[in-house]
Amino acid sequence: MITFQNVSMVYPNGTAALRNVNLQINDGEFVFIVGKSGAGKTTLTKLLMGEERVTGGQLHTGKFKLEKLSKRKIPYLRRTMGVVFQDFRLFSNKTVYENIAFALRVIGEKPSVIRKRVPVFLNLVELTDKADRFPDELSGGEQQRVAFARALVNNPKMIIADEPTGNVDPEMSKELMDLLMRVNKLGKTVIVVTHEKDLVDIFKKRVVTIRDGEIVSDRAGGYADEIC
Amino acid sequence: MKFVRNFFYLLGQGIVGVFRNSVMSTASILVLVCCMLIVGTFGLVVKAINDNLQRVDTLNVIVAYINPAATDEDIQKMKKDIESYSTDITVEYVDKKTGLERLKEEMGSEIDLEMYLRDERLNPLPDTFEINFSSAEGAEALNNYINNLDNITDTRHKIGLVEKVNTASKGLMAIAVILMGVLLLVALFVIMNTIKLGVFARRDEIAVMRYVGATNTFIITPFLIEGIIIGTFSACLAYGIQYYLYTQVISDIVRSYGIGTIAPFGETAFVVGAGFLGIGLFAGIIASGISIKRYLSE
Repeated sequence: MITFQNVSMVYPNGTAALRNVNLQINDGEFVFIVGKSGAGKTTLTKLLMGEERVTGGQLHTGKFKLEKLSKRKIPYLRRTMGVVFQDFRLFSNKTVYENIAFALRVIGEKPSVIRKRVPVFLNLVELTDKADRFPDELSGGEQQRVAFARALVNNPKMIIADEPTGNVDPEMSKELMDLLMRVNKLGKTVIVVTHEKDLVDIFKKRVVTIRDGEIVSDRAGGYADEIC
Repeated sequence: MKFVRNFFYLLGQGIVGVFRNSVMSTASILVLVCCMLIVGTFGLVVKAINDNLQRVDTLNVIVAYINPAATDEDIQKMKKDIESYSTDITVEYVDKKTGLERLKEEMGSEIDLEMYLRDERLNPLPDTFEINFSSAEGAEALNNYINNLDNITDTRHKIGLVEKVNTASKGLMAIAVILMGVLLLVALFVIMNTIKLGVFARRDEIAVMRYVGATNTFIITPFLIEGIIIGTFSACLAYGIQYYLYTQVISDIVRSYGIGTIAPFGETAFVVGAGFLGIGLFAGIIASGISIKRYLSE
């Protein structure tokens, strides 16, 4: 479970990115975080990933108390989550297979486990036949699917997708969202940061709207009309 | 097992890193090799000088001439007085007959001394004390003390020369240390930039590594290994060149000019090897450590 309790985040230059945020996300939930640019969506995901530290309040995710988490433990926090970015962030000099295997290698997984798990996730994202290709030989949608597979291969409890459909065509966006829905059905918590109204409306899931660092709406259904 | 698996993976990454920045790696190795060779060569030359100085016994000796009028009793008393001056000295009484025999040995057939040897009364040499001291420091004071004793007419020594050679050796070593310091700084700077380039080239990779839960140790280790490889390779290369310089060049110069003798390389091989490796590892680890730590703390 993820719990934000009166969480504030002020950057060293004085910019208040989040103000008194209270939010609870249960295990296995699917949540859209929406809001305009600069609203505080990215800061919220950065806090979850331990990239930034809260300046006020308490933030807990699973057994990790992020407000006082030591730097040494951040890698272990990140192993409980898979992260997908708008710009994919794949290794251009590694094949699709190697990109996915890398996430397992980093945590010191056995080669036999790597050999077993990677094909499963290649199959999940329907890229088995392109395992030996390099990222620049793939379309945007395919690259994002590789990123999804890499995020999932460690069997994380939570997936954080920061504008995952920002660099792909609408058809592929739908496919990627379907993939996230399937992942959610496996019991994983999915947090999707986006500003794509159409997508959010299609899936009728919980939508948390942020404006100027504050949560202005938290409801199931669709994109809050007032921020459009 | 996990540690071993990770170690071999990271070792491989470190080796890849060395070749990825081959130009900068080569520059780092060259500067480090120069640094090691300068220190090594100066150190070995200074050692050779000191070794030769120690072999020349006459340098650490004060010869004190005894008044011919002194009695045996006076001579015994003087010997005790000199011996009581310091525990680091040895005093040998050389009567004029022994002195003449030694002179004959030294001169060989250059001068005919038979006449003086046949009739002791004709021997012009005085009785002497030969005082051996181990360190040039305080030798001047010892000389003054001996000179002021009754029945000592004069002394002869090469304390000034010993001091001059010692000063020259120290000067050479000081130059070597300064040069080493400067070159070590240059080497650190070049290696730091080599590693920094590596870090810069892999910044996206490092960012992704962090997102998938790589520990700092996992991220840092390939760069440390890169530094260690550069340092170790430099040490090996410098050792080989130093061996050649010592056995072929320095030894040849010493022999052909008859400056003295020179110890075989094997005598100092371990010290040279360990020193070079120490410099290489120090430079490699410190430089790569600083570069990556700075980046990770950003």
